[in-house]
Amino acid sequence: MSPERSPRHIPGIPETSRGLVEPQLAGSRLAGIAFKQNEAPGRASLEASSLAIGWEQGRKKHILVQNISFKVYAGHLVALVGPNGAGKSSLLRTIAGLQAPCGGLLSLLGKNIAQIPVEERASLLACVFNERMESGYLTVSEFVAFGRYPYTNARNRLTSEDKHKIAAALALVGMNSFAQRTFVSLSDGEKQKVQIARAVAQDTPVLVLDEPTAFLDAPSRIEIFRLAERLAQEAGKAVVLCTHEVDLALKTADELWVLDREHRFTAGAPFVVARSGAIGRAFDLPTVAFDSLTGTFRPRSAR
Amino acid sequence: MNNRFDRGGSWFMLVWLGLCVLILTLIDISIGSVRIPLVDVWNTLAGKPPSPEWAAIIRIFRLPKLATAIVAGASLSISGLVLQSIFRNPLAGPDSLGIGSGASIGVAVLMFAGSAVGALGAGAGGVGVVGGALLGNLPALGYTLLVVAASAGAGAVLLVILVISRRFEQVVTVLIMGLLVGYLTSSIVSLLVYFGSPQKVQLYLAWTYGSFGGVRTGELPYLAGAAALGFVLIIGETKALNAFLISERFASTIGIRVRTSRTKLLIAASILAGSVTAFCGPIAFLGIAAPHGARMLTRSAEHRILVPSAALIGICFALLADILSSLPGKGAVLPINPLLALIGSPIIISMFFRREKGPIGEEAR
Repeated sequence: MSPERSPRHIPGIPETSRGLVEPQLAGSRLAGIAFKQNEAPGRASLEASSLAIGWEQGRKKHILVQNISFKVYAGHLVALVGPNGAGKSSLLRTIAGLQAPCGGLLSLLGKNIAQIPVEERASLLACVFNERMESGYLTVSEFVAFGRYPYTNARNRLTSEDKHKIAAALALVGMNSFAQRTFVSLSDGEKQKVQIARAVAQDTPVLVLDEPTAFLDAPSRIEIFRLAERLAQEAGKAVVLCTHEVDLALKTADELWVLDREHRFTAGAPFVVARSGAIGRAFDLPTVAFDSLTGTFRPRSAR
Repeated sequence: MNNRFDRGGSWFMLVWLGLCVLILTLIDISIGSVRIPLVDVWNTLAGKPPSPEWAAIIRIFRLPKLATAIVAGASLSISGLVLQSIFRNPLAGPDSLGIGSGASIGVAVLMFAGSAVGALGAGAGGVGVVGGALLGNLPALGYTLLVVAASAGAGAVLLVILVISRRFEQVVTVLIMGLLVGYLTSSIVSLLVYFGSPQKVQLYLAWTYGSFGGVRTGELPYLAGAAALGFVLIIGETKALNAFLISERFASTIGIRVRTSRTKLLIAASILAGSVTAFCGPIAFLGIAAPHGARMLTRSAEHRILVPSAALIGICFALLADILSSLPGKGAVLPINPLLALIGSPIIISMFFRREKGPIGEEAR
């Protein structure tokens, strides 16, 4: 993939219809968040060559997807789409280092991910996974403080720098007024934003988001995508997210990855991938088809 | 995780709990087969004993019992807190992981196997034969053997649980396996009891009622040492405990070595629960209830606060139970286990009711 920015909208959709929410903190945005200059082109933040993912059961390897090759650069937002069961979450878990690759090479900032110690990995890559959690009396700011764990001592004493980064991360997602609320009392959309704030506070060059828009209402989904876009463009992170929102992904992402039902991996600029028919191959049902002109799904009988 | 520290509310709660422990300590020393007025308890402790008999009673009987109750209360509740956080299950505790029943099977094999060998075949093994022979006359040499047997039983079950937890990533699987191991051991215990002689059954039942009074001064350092070891291991892993409360995957993504921390914490929890069970019998309820009390009182999810407050609440429960068990006076002592459940369950139930009325956002796990 070329490190250059790809066209940000697909033909057939006027710019004005992108309808993305404006940044909430226009004046003070990203206050206190260390800006990372985009790395020189050529050195990818994440790189996979002939990666195979799957799981091992005893001595038997179950390979889910193979021949995955990609490069993700700092400042780029990558959206991974595909039908349920195609292997999206497995791929993200593998990228996050939580699941060992079944073959091929996966490197994070030039280092083989399998050889990066857990503690160091946490300062290079942050991820947000969807999971039910019982957080009890944990407050929002305490939750975001988890992002500082890779940096605090055994007694978890927060320095003023830590506190500053926690506050800045909360401000970035527009949740600073919620700092003292308990995490369980938040709505799903608010929880998602706080989770992202936690990952931002972790201050890593790479960010992985697993279906950040699941269970959210339409405005919140757009808000989360806008947030991911800003984290890539303004904070210079390499952001990989997987989603079911194909149209939002087409409009927002710099690069689109598609995993289809036959477990094939396709990567490219969103409009190229859309035109190539890869999305249709991945998702189409007898009754529903992807329309590459509008970037949306529609019933086949509607035409 | 600093906001509650800054406000100091949780630390205030710790001071308050410490005061409770102090008051209960004095009452516990004063009450027994001989009642010693609180003033005289204070004077004796301060080095001006009003009577040599009272001084002897306090030194030989009351202080060791008090120390045992304190260590047992703290150990069991810290162990329960750790297990609840690791397994993210409010019902986890030393018992539900089979650590308690592991200790029981050690004791049961020791007590019954000698006589049961004939009935059950050679399955019970050599230890049982030796133990059965020695245990004809508890509490002489048999008592030390009892402690060893209970520790070995708890350790064996822990080993099984550790192997299981290495094999299965899913925490729920480990918990279910712990329950199944618990059933397995208790069924073996039941069989041993069934074939045991009435005299031995009574001995065994006495152990299962639980008591803080059986630990002698010479044995105290072992109990306290085990507790200190477990406590130090756990205090070093409070970050991991905080993160485990969310999930193990989450902990891994923020830089915690999940298996190392989990293994360390499980070993610590078993040392704490196993040693207390060996010395005092299977003390139920404390390990499950005290952590809930700690969470509700401190309204915190930070284990640097929760570990000490769970310990203090556990000590309060243990002392209260010990005081109530000595209340009949004239040498009569009620068993600890039923008393603990009798005091503790209503308190915890009322706490849950009060919590339900709290403002939004203060629900506990």
